[in-house]
Amino acid sequence: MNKIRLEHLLKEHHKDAFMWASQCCNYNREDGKEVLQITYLKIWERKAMYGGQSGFKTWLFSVIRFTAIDYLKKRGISFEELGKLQMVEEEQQVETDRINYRELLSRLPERQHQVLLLAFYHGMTLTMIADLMDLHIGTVRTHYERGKDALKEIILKERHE
Amino acid sequence: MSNPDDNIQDFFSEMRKKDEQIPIPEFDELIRKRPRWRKMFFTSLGVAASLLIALNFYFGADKKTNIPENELVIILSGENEINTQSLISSEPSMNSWKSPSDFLIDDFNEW
Repeated sequence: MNKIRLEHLLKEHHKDAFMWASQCCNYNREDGKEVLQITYLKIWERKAMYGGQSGFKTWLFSVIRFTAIDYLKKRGISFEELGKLQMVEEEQQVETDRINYRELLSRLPERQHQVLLLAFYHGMTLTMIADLMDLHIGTVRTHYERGKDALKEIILKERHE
Repeated sequence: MSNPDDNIQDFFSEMRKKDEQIPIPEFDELIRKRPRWRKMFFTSLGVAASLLIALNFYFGADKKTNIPENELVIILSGENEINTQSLISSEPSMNSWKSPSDFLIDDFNEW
């Protein structure tokens, strides 16, 4: 793939890629920006190459996810800690009187959280998610179903409170 | 008939709507640029290297001019100053040369 085509595709998915990078970094936009920059650099320097086995978006999201894992590891943040979200202060202030979506999602186990984000927020199919997360389709389906049930409960509980 | 996932879909579409307000960094700002930590690392490395070179020049030049006044320096000049010819005590002579196959000429009848 030539660089002009590659740049065009990256530009097309830039917004979604930034949102996904931030979501992989505890919804921290600065970290998300850094991760996306490293991802673009990897792609630009051909350290990560698109082979065409999956869709471009699936591949890009997968590179972002692995880059975020490495980035957080280097900074000493374990992936388990991702569940315990550190909300950005400004957002906490804005969201005091509204539903705090991120906080509610963070109550889910990390895999379920990511599968639901990819399915409902980014509109991906379970097959795409399986490719992206390097998991068996059956495992993804389990995370998807359990995640949905758990989130429904969380939403209901939130409404009653 | 309502979809059992309706409330989840609503939840995420609301979340997406809310995220529309988030400022997205410019694509050109992120592409083809090295990440901040790399930039900072190489910048500081460059500064340290130039500082070392500058210090080396400053102190190196200072050392050269620091010769004590009463110290005598002798510089030899001439054609044979590094001639090592005198170290060879004798010249090889053709008379002393012996062929490695010399023993073949020996007359065994003398035995």
